[in-house]
Amino acid sequence: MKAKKSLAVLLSAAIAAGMMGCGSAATGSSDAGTTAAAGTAAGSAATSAAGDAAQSESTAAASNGELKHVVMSFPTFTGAPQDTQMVQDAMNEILKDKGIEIELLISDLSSYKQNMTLALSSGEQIDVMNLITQDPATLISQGSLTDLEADSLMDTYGPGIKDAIGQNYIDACRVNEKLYSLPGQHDYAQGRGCIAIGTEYLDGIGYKAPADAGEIIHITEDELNDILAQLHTKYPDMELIRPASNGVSQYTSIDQLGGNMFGVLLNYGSDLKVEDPFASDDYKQFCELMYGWNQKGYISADAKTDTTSVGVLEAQKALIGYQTGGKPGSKVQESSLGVPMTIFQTKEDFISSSAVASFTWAIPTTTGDAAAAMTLLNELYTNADLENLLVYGIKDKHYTLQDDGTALTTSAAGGTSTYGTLGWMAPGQFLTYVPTGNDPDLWTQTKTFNENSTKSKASGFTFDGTGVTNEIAAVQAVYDEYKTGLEYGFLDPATALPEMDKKMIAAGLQKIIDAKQQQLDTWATAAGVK
Amino acid sequence: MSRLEASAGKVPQKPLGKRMKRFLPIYLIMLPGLIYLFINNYMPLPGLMVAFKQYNIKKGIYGSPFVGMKNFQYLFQTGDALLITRNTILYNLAFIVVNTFMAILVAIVLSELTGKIKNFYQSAILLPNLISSVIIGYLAFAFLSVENGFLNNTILPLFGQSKVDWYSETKYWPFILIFVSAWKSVGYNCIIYLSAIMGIDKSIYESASIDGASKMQQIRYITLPLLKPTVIMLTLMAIGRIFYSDFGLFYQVPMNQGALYSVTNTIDTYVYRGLIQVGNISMSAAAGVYQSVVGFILVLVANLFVRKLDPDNALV
Amino acid sequence: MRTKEQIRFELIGNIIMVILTVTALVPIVLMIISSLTDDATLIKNGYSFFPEKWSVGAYNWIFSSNSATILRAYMMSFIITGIGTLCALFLTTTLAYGLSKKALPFRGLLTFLVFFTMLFSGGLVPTYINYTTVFHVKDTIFGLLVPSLMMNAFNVLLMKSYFTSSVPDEILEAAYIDGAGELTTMTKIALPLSKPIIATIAMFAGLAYWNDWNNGYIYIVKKTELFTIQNLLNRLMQNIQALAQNSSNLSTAQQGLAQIPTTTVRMAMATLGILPVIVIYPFIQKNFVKGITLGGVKG
Repeated sequence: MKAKKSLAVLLSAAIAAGMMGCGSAATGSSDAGTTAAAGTAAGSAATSAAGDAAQSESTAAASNGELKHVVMSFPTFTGAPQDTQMVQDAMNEILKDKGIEIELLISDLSSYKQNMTLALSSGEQIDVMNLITQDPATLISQGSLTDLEADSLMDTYGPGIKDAIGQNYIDACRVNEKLYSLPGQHDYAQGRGCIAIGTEYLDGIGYKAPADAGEIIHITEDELNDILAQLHTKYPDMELIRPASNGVSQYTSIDQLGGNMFGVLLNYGSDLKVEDPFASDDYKQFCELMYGWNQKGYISADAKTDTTSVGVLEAQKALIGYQTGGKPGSKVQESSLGVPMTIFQTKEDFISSSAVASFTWAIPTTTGDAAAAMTLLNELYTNADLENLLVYGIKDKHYTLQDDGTALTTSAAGGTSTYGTLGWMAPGQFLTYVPTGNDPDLWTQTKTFNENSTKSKASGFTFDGTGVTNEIAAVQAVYDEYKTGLEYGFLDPATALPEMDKKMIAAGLQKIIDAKQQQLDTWATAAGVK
Repeated sequence: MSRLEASAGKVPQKPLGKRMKRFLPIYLIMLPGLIYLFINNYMPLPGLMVAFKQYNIKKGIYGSPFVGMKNFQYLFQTGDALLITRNTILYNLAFIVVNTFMAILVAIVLSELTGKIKNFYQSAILLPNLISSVIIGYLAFAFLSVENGFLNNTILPLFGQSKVDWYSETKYWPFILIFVSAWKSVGYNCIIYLSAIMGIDKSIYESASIDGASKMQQIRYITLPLLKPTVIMLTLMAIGRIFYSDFGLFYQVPMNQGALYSVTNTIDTYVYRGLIQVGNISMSAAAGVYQSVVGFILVLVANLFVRKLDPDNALV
Repeated sequence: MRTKEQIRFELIGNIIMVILTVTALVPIVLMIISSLTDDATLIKNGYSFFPEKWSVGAYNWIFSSNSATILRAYMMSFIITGIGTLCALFLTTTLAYGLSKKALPFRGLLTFLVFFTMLFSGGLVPTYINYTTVFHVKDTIFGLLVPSLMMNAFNVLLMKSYFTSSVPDEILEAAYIDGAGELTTMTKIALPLSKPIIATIAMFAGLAYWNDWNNGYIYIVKKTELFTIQNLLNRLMQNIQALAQNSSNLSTAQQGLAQIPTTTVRMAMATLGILPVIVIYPFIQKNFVKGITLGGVKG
């Protein structure tokens, strides 16, 4: 059947193609929402009109009675789990009352960006999507995302969302005062300056944690250096520390405005002055620390090229410790490979300006029905049963509930997993069960952690880089050239750092900084931040 | 040599109408190929316009506003514009020379060898072509790793040399990349020349043999001249793509090491890295247009020369 | 009967080929050995031709988590490569033959149109929009077969050049004057003389289809049962990479990785990707060599 259809279209296209030159100009201007006649759709290969036709067709085909078909798209590390259809059916049982019918479109994280870019540009129906790995600024400037508050969409169809997330955190996602996406419930803050070290090695040097230390041991940098020196003396042939590629956001007080290094706030965003990080003392100290560690032989010469993950290295006893980010549950998390880890922290807990607005949920403009999409989001933020289905699957099949109220997944219990998605990405994670092994109180702890952390003054500022895309591309190229060398301690910051900064300025760094400062000032005035 | 002269002789030109009638069946059999070309290559082609536009998804590619050459600026904004252009061109020139030489050498040797073993040779050298760049990157790492690499641990000690930090020393990489490129492509490229050699009229060799020409003389005076059209055509096509580079070779094999950029950064890798942050369709299209236009001009110029010197072998 | 020179030539030729063969095979042997090395040993000692400890853990992991999928994907690969190669051969030969006719009206223009596509393309997004909204190939087998692989300008021009230089025009003209139609001339005279290039193009098209994962990556989103072996392996590989990149801050990534012998599994996947080729290639090779040597202009 499909072959026949394709062939027919092929022929008609060959004929219609002659008219393409003029046809496309006419249909090209048609706005989203207008339905295109089938004839023009064949000719206008790349216009939104064709997308609309395809989209209305798929909606009509799939809709079932009065239920509105809603496509929800997000990735997992390994693509759609085997039992996705089963879970989707169970979710639809719950959603029936709300007049919607969900279709889970789960991709691999690695191909998610590509899949979504293509789907959105050809107008395929996507109603709710996660923005992980996407570039929200580009999507917004291309007109791919729906303004969630236009025509009081959220007030009408998503009344429970505001309370579930908290007005503060919602406001932290605004771009130019408009709301295009909503954050999931998760840890927004991150403990900076954290190092995870295998507990057995600490035992080896006779290190005793202070009695009052909690899950994370707070120490000074000098104390840490002392511990590292002892470890190196005791285990001279082992790799001591493996730096991380996101070292800046784990080991400095720099707040990366707009999620990149080109114009930042220093000192945990305590001051609204946009600075060049590469000329700052903080970044310099970080690079010097790494360079020092590397000079002392703590870091493997292969660290910059080896792609083996730190967890695996640790489990294979090839590595003693690594940089990480701290949060409630991080000790459990880092020890999940069966090697008990101890977490040290030398810096503060911090919510960066862009932390809240990462991997948020949005309604693309290719939605079949924005109201239905918002209804689904509302359910996902407020309905615990629905959320548990989404994250864990079906009870007693994909997970079992423990006495302490935590959920033990089949894979954690040693079986083969046939369903499971990424809880930390889920809209209403705090509604779900806590994964077994963690403190049953984990979600409350996470909320408190978010509340009590230092917040960047620019929390909620989002940078629109459209005006300086050329400069960002050029400066990024310079950064890539030096990043690993400096941040893994292979280059001497005394010479390499000024060299890089000079190249960056030549590539237009100051222009990005100025643009950021200007947008930040406008934002601060509007938001009443001083 | 009579064959070459004969093929150069033009078919007498009859009136167009008559010729059209004669070739009607030829047009018909060409039709499927032309339709595919139209669908696969020409229908999406207007999409190139996006390079000159500020892309807006709602308006579509054709409806988005024109912004002139703005999307091209980032290609020249960087201080590295010269460097990446130089790298791209020099590597491509090196590949053209080295890979052509290797492919012809192997093709001639294979065509002259007898016995079953030559099938084995041919299969073996084709295998690298089946391995993806990511894996080639890991295999290169197996040889070049500082701590555990095969070269540092086994080969260099044999010569009493000390360890080399391969991924920070730029001076080795031009050779490494040219080597990897040849390693990967010689088996594939030699097939083209092998088929061209097989297409040579055997009677030419026989008569040369009777006239007492040695093997080397036959190769020099018969095989090589008859391979010329193939060499010229492949070189012209390579010139057309001289601003493009094998992304995997330049990105995966050096493991994306910043310290090596001065000798591994090409236009393609630069564009990829630059656009990771902004992910702009228009800007990546602009890079493609730039690469294509320059290649197009170069190949037309080169073709003009070929046409002057050797009209039969011109590409178009 | 062999002259001294011939013997010397054979000797030097064999030496050259042995050096090249060893160079080609050493990394591949290393790849296969690495895939059979114990993961922990590999991480600790690095890649080695003589690993301390052997293990089939990598293959166990791949097959235990994907056995049914892998066999199906192999089958898909064979189907796609088979059908695709035939289609590609047909399209390329017919078009190239036409373009090789010196007297063909508009020959120059048509050749130029073919050549032009070698340099200029509409780009990924317009191509995708074209194939999905006009031809609806998404999540169908056509998505694997049709886009970009069925014919390319390089092969067409290569073949055209062979036709013009190795199939003597005078034979074709003579046949035409004797009353044979253009099509008869082509199938009865030109093509039999062109076996070497037909075998070559078949080989190139076959390799392109076998190696391709891009079409599946772009056009197959929901119906992953259509994945070819390269799609599947590439996807596993990319997922492992994504896990490794995120492992420093996400516990699920850590746990996911814990179950995978990451380093050796990559090599095992690459080995699985070329294994059928190693097995089947000698047969193809035999026919290929036959095609390439039997054809050509006879004396």
